[in-house]
Amino acid sequence: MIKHYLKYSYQILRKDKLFTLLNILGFAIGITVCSLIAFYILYEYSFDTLNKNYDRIYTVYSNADRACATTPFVFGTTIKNKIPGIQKSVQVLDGLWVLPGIVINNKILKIDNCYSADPELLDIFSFEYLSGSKIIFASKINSVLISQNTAVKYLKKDEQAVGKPIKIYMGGLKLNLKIAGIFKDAPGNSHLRPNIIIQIDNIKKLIPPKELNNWNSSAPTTYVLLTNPSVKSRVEQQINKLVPVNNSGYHLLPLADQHLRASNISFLIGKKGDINKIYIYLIIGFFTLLIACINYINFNTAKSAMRAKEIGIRKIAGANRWTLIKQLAAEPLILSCAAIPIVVALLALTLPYADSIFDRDIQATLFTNWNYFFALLALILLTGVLSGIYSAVLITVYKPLDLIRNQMNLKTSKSYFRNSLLFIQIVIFSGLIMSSLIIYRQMQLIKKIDIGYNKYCTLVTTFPGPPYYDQFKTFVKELKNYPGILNGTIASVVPPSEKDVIRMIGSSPSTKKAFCYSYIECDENYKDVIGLTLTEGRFISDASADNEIVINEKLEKDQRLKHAAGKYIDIFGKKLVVGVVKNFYMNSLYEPIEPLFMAKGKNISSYLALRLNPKDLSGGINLFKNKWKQFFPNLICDYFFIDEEFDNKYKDDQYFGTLIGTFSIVASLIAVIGLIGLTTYIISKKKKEIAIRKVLGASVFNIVYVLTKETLIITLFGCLVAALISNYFMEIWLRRFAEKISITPDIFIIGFCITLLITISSVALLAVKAALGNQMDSLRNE
Amino acid sequence: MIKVVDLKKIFRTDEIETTALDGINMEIKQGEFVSIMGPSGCGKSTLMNILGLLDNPESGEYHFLDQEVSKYTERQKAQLRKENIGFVFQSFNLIDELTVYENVELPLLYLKMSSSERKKKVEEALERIQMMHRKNHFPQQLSGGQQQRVAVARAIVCNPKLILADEPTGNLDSTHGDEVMKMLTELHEGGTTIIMVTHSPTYAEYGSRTVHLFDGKIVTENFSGVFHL
Repeated sequence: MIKHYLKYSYQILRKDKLFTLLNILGFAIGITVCSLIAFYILYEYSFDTLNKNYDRIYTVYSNADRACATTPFVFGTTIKNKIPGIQKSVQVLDGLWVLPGIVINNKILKIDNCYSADPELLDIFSFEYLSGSKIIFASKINSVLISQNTAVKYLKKDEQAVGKPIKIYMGGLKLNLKIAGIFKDAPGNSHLRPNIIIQIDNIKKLIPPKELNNWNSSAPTTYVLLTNPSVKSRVEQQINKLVPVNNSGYHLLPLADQHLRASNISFLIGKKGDINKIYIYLIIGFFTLLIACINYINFNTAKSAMRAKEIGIRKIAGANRWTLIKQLAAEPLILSCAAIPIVVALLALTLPYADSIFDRDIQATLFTNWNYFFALLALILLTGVLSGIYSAVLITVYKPLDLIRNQMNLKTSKSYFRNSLLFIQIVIFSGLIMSSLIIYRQMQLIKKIDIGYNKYCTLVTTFPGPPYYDQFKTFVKELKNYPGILNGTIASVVPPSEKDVIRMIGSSPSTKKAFCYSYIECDENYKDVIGLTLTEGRFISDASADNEIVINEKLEKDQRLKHAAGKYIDIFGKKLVVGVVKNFYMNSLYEPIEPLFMAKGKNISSYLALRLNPKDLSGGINLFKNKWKQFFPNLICDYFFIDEEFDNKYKDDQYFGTLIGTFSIVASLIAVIGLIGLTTYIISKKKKEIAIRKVLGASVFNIVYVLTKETLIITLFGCLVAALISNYFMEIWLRRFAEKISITPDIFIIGFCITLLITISSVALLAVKAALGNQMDSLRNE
Repeated sequence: MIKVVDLKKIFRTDEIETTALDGINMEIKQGEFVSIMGPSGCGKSTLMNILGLLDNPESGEYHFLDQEVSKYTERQKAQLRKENIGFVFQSFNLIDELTVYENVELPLLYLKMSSSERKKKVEEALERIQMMHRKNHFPQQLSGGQQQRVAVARAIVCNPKLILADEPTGNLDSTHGDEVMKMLTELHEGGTTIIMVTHSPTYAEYGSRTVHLFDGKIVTENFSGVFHL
């Protein structure tokens, strides 16, 4: 019997090649998109699960002003061995001040993910050793562990590297260390991905003891390994009892939440995920699967309706309903199986692209876990067969005689059902088109918006803080002698920077109203290098007194001042406002412009910005690099450009836009395939009607109108609902931007036109063909 | 074998009620060959469909093989049908995608028979209609008469006790029509009960009895020929 089913199904599928091909293709595309999203979501949820202590590891974060995952050095020693619920604790520093480097053949090469940590790190987190051991590492302060990749990339050797000396620059100082072991690189789905691990005591030696005991300075991240997850809240209470009162407010973040549910906590080590993104992808994935399944159901229902006579004959020949359902489900099964190689091929083609869109290394992790593939196989077969069974159940409900005479009522419930499926498809893909139009406009706005400074041709580098201030001042002076470099400045922060902006909280002495102002420490060249516009007074000068400040318009407004230049204001002591600059976006466009003031100083500066001559950019860069080597042979030369950094800030949203755009194309494609299938079916059912109309004198246009009318109405209503839904969700998305477009009706009109063009063009072509064709045969058959 | 008592069937739409069968009383014994005649719309096919358990009567009794079957469930009817009744239609109703052999095999598939047994029975049936040489052809490759012969082979392959033929010669020319009638006569001679709807008085003569229907009622019954018991 099974042989009969399969053979017969194969013949049926072969007979209608186009129909079969469209069906398989639509299904395969839908499943591919869905699996890509599923892979991404599984990947995001798999973060850190490889750690054997996964459920007992917690990150300490403070939540006094805003959530922050750094702790004072003294915190580590304070809690060590004093809280019964904590089995082990470790403090980890990801670099210090400037990018770490490794010395190879007297050259310093920059290396990221260079961690300094207590030896307990290796007991708490799971690392796999290829050679050497953590015992040697723990016993000697000058020992270092390196990853396999680092060993191969920098030392050009693998396991033999153990015991060899290595020089590492960190925090501006050189450390002579010995390799104690090599560990396997942590997979992409691990938040800690060290290339090098050195003992944190090396770093502590560089820091004055006063700082090490200072409860107000924060640097390393502290992880704790609890004896049991249930003791968490007790441990939190105990921690807060041990630390000084004004520093209390420490909490424990479970490792399981670190990747996806900690977007509000800053300074967490490693790549951060976003649970909201997961939800968005989940919705998109669900919709794509829904569209694909709807197609599949539509195709199969149409197909089985075309075979009503055959099913009737089988019923008369003695087939019961269940037997027929089994037979009709054999076809989708064959189709699903045929879709498998296509899905695999599409996945192979799209995975590298998906990796770059998602900014993840899914491809590499995929092949380590076969569960992904079993899940994929199950998804294909289940969706295929379930959608198939659904249409089989629909058709077999009829009595054999009705089937033979093809007397299933097309105008009734079934066509409502099919139309509602079409409606859902149109809502989804039209909604996606409208949303991508909105995202596109917003991204265009970001490009055009007046950010208040000149982001072009500005090179930025960082240096290890105040000890180097004077040297860097001399460095800038030297560079300015060359035509490639127009100007240079040293400051505590340059835009667009989020993490290094200092926010000072105070209250007005007269009104007692609290305020929070951003503060930039800079020199007299800051305005010219960054390209700020002065609206009143002058900028701070070399000769400025310590209490002279320059404020932005926002602060001027906040203090309810008019023509503030030359006036004294009382913020953090009496200050003389010497000038006002036009508002500029210190951070990204996600955040509104904050009231801000600038003052001269060299206490916290660690940024150097150079305005290069646009006519000789590469000359300027080369000069900078050469002079750097000359001035700071022991410091790594690492720099970026403000405009690149600015664009990076919106990378996520640009990816998001690309993604929504891609999905709207895919969804439209699948829907078009479905529409073609559906129209072919409807036309085959209406052959007689078309013939009669033609006999009675209908023009081609009349017939095309009759055939496309329904689709037209559904498209119209579909777009209306899509507009409402996308308007709702895009309003939410736009809330993240301080400067945003207003959603105007023309977006929806354009979206409607695109949708209409897609649906009508796929339907009208077939309708015209049907109207022009010879339908008389269908009358002759009567 | 068949006994119907006061059988009624009414078709309803939103506005119109049409009485297709209006109190039919009839008995058909095993081995009879009954022809049913009457003008279009008199209820011939409706009667055939009810007798073939493809449709339900509005009221009345239907005894098939001494069982009252009018209240049977769809499943019970399907079971009874596949074991006892073979159908021949005016428009052949062969499945285009299946070969002659496969079309004839179809009813056996649903009887859960072993493949060797199926093969034997299909070949027997094809031999009987002299279509063995065409067993791998598809229906479209055959003439109308040949297609109807295949349909007859399909109807007899399970050795049914009853064959219902709804205008089996309606789509055929006289030569092919005669061929099909000859086959039905042979089957009748072999002991199969046959009920046939026809418009042709000549073909109706093949039956042992002719029932005339008009407006859903039996108007006359003529006996002719011999019973084959």
